[in-house]
Amino acid sequence: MNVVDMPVTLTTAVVTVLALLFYFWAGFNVGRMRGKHGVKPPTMTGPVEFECAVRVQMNTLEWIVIFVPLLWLATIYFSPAMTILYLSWLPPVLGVIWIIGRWLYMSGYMQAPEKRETGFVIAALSVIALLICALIGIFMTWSAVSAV
Amino acid sequence: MQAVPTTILSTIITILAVLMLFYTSVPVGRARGKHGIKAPAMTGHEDLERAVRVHMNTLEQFAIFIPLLWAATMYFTLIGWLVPALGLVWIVGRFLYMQAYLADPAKRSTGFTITILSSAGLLVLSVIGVAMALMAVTAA
Repeated sequence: MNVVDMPVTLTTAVVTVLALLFYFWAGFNVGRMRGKHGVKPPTMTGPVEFECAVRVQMNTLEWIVIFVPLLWLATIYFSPAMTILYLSWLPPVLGVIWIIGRWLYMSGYMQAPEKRETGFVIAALSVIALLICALIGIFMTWSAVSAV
Repeated sequence: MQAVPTTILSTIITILAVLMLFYTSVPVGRARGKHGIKAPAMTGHEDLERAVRVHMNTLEQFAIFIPLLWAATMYFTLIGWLVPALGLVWIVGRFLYMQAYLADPAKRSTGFTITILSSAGLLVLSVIGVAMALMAVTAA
């Protein structure tokens, strides 16, 4: 089966769309806080609530550029190579965990900046796990290709 | 992958979007030079702050646009040319956004809205495409 049509790949596509929607929401929240506190562009400072929203969006942007490539590398290389014990589903599952972590990060940060850590750590661990999956998958695929 | 011409068109759009993103960084350097604002300062003159905001906002939107463009390219095969066409709309919207924002921040919304609508369109096509592919896999 073509990798594009595999159920795991399709699930990763759905997770990607959800992650992008979350990120869009983080950006929308900044616009909402601009309106609420009357902070006009291009100003990026103001009340704490506005600056928290800006930091949530920027930090999510910083992470999403790492997360999306690793999610897809893991899906393309790890999932087809790792077929035992449902392990092939690990990349999209880690993707869902990332979104949950980011959601906790955002809701915590918007309550109080010191409440951001739990979600941050969950999302960061998910990215590290995806990195490991991608490396294992690339290594396994490479070994298989070299052995032929 | 699928019909190759769509993939080629989306690749061209990706290259153009990357160039557009790079182009939004040019006024930042120009404003730094013009007003003598040294790095790492990100404030100091309205011209610089506008340029910085255009660059950052384009980066923010780029991170949504590129994955959706490719999700739609891979899975939405009903009307192949529609996906790169929406990509072209995004680039035009960003160009208008940049021109307007640098002239007057209050006028930035037209280009911004065009960009958002393009991304929203790509989102819809991605969801339709993925749903159809999921159904095809389930039915198989």
